[in-house]
Amino acid sequence: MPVKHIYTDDCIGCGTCVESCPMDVFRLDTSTKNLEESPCSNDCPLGLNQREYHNLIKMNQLDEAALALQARHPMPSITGRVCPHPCETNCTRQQVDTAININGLEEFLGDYVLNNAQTCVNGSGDKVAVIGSGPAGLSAAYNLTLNGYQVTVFEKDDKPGGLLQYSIPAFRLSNEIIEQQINFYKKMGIKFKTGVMVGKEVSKAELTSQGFKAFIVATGAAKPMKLNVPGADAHGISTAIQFLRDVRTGNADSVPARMAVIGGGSVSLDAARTAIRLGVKEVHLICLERVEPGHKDNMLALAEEIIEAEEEGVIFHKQRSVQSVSVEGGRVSGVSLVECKSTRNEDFTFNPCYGTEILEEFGLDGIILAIGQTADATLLPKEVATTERGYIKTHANTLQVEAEMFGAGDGVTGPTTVVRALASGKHAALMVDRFLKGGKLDKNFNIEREIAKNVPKGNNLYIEERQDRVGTDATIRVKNFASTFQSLTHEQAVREAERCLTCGSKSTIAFVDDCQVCRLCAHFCPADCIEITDGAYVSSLHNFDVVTLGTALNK
Amino acid sequence: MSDIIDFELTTIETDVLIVGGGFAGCFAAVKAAEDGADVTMVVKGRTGRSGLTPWANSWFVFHDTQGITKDDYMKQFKLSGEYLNNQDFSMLLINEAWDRFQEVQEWGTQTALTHPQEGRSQYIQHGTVSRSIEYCAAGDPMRRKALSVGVKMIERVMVTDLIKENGKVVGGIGFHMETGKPYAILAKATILCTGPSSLKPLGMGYPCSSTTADGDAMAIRVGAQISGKEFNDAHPANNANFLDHSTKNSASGDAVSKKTVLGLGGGPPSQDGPLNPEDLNGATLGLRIDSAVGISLGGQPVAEEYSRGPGGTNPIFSGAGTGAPKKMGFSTVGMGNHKGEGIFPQDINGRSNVEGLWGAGDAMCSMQNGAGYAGFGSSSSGSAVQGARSGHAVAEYVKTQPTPAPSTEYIEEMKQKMFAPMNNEQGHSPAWVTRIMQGTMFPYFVMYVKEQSRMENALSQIKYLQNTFADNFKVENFHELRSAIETRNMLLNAEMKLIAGMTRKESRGTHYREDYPYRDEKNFLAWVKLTLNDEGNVQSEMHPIPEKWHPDPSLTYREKYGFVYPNEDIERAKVGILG
Repeated sequence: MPVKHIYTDDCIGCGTCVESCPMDVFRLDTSTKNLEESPCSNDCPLGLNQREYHNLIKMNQLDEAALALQARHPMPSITGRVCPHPCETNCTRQQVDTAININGLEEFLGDYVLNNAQTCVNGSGDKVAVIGSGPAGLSAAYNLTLNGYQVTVFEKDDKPGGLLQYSIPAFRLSNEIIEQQINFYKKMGIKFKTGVMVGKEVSKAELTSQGFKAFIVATGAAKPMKLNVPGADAHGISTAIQFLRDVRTGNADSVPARMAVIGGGSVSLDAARTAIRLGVKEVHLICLERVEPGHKDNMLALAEEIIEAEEEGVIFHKQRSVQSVSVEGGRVSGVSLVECKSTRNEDFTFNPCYGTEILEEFGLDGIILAIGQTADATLLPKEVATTERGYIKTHANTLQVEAEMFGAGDGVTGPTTVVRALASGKHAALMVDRFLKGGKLDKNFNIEREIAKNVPKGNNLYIEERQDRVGTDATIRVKNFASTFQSLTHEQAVREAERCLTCGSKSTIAFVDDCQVCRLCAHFCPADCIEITDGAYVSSLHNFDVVTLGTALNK
Repeated sequence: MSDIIDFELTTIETDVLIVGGGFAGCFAAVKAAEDGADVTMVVKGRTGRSGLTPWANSWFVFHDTQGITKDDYMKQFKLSGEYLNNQDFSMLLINEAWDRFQEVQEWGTQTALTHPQEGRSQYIQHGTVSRSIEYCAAGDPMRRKALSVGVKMIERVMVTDLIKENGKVVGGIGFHMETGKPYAILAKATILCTGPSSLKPLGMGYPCSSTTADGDAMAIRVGAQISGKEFNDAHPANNANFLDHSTKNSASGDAVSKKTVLGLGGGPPSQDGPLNPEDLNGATLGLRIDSAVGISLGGQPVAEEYSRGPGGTNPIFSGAGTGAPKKMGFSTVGMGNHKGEGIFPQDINGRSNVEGLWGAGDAMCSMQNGAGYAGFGSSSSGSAVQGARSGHAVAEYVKTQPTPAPSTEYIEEMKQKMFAPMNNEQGHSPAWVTRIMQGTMFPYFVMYVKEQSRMENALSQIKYLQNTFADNFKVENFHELRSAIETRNMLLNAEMKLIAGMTRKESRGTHYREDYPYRDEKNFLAWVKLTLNDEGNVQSEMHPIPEKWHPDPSLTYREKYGFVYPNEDIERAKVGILG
């Protein structure tokens, strides 16, 4: 035997041997069965199997890659633009150079799905109603449809999408993408009833009589929190949720000259950057947090968002709290800021500590609040039980409210991220499926999987620069609501996928007869897990089929 | 029955298609891209890794520190090449190798100059200098460089045939070896950088088995002239790790192997003129039949008890006939001389006789080294020099060329033909056909010690294999499909080798005829060019070498030719070749 053995325990699954073998002897198993889990997959609330579709992109098998992604993800094109990509945080590639642009690849492949995928429609199963068409609702609908259910989504607003449609500004998520994604769902057979609030225009009882066998309530958490300081009820103070909604619906096309946005999350940055695009003279961003990745008080917004906002001219007031709002003639005229010494406890619970001395004071014409959201119990049908704070009251694991009623998304958990809401919706869909099939709900099907190993120290892995999406220059992007960066090109995507170490995959010796014992596999293997025997390849004349007498005879 | 494979073709339009990802391919790609052309590289494995590139551990540069001039050097080149050099290409190497070396260093290749701890910065052999580079160190930097200048790279895709439209090569068709995804690359110009041609010896510890003469076969099928097929490169090897150059048993250029290569005729140009027979380990120059252990067994390593050759006492091949062989024969079985077989160039940039087609590196018969071997590193640097040349030339050429638009029916037909071994209901195993072909070609008395009737017998076998099996393979996956197409290419290559060997009725350099064991200047100061005739058989013609490159007539025979073939002097006296 030439290539004798791969020590599977040591194999990190990087596929270097597959690439380096002149004789094409190896194959890589990237599936999830019985294999270690990659860090990205582990950190992804949706549990995507990135290594599988990355490997397929690398081989330019975009159709197959798209299928692999679609099977687990209801809207990759959208999260590819708005997800805070926790998957990249622990990417093993950082031990070599920089993390894989998992988010960029997701966007690229997500767009490919929207533009090319053949949607499989199979809607002969039970009818299920989904209430709310934000990420959680859409994810629930998508996953139920994949499982053969007939799904109708009820949305109180004119257009489906929830916060995707009304809160995220167009420069981060364009109307076209949302529309394409919704059309994709419609092609799958998902029905949308917009302008319909369940519990008001139609009752749960009516829906039940129409044949709906189960309900998933996913009404979100979009009710803005109020500021509680002197002057907070002055005229000229609005909320980011309302402001962004007005802009997206065309009901706001100008802003006062001097604005402040209060809050340190993505919504706050979205509002500030939107104000800039509407021609604000100056916009201040006041937040309790600091910008120091890894610190307990780090801002929740993404580093790249903060950089982009600074480039666009947002004036940051970090580690500051509004002590009071100045009011003149009933209108906002300025703010006074004190220091925020600490935002959170070591365990990340919110516990701000303020100084007393006023450090900054400046004049303003308007304030936008982005200090958090909560659920709005008035949006729920009367059959849905709520907590004291207005959240949907479900069983913690099964998301069951009671009987055929389930909850999902931010309306259950409080504000999270799009991807968490998607995961919640997917989970609710699974529970409904089990419920309708009469199965036990609270049964854990998740197999505990080991996380793939780190790359060995002193490895000789191929170094290749990360492919980033090309950003538009700040001076240009502040003038309009176009996307602030260009998606990866096909060529870039292939190159970037090639950097993926496909962690936790396993290499196999597939065609040992062709080994020429050049030992390049062992030379390039970063984990030193390939054994090659010292002896010659002792072959006989008959180690292959001399004549293949047709497949039928042969098998 | 399995489903018919009929995947949708991915068509890529580009200015320049480069087939192959070694030194020649990378340099051609980088230069063409830097000159503004849109370049697509298609590589059967991975660029810089899966061919012979990792094997390179030196880089020839002409260097006057050894006290010899370019003219002196050219004189040695002619001696070792036995006057079959194309001296324009020899001079190109002398003039441009240093510049290419600077580039390969700039791109990030670790050399002994940048890593002096290795303890050697250069080889000096008989007035030549080879810069030392690390094994496997050049490939990845070249790949990154090519990508950084915008070259599109398609890897693990085997180009199976060239697309020809109105007499012009306009790209190639191929498939991905794991997924089967078919590609048609439509290009205004194509450069074949497919490397040397081996007949796929396996298990020999030398990374040449993936270079299966694909380029030569594709080129001759579209009408290109192929040359140099009668000469052999022969690295003795055992199953030792070629990367482990600490061992004397390695196939790499250690002292022992060097002499064995010399033993086949040819050798590094020498400051002192041709080497003495005594320098060559006491062996008779030419072939040592007694020691050809591995070859006699078909070139494939086999179990010890079956591997005893005819016997002999040569220490390099000790044990032959009487015990366990230490050597497994010649690991490069079927490889021609570096820079000495492949597309016959029409100009210094490697243009072929077919419009739109170029060759570079070991896929081109530049005759840089003539009928011998030019010393360490001349292959790596020669490929880089020639690749760069072809890249520049092609970038200029494509500026005036129209976008190719071959008919879709024709491309579709090519695709069907490519996938035929997958779709045939029954057929033969390419591994089996390869083995039979090897059994015919590998014996030392066919490949290295040649004689007319033995070659005719071999040819008759090869033609039978071609006619009976080449279009009747049955494979189960795309890995095997690659083998099927390689086998088809190797069968054609075997025919080329035999026809060329029969045409050159003399011995010269690494071409040894038992029935003509002498140099015949009157008839064979010429290159043998091969083409396909209307019946699809290989035919040959002689292409005389310009008189200015002939040996100095005032020299005696033995002054011109230092190496002595067995029975040479007796036989040449019989036919009146004196001096």
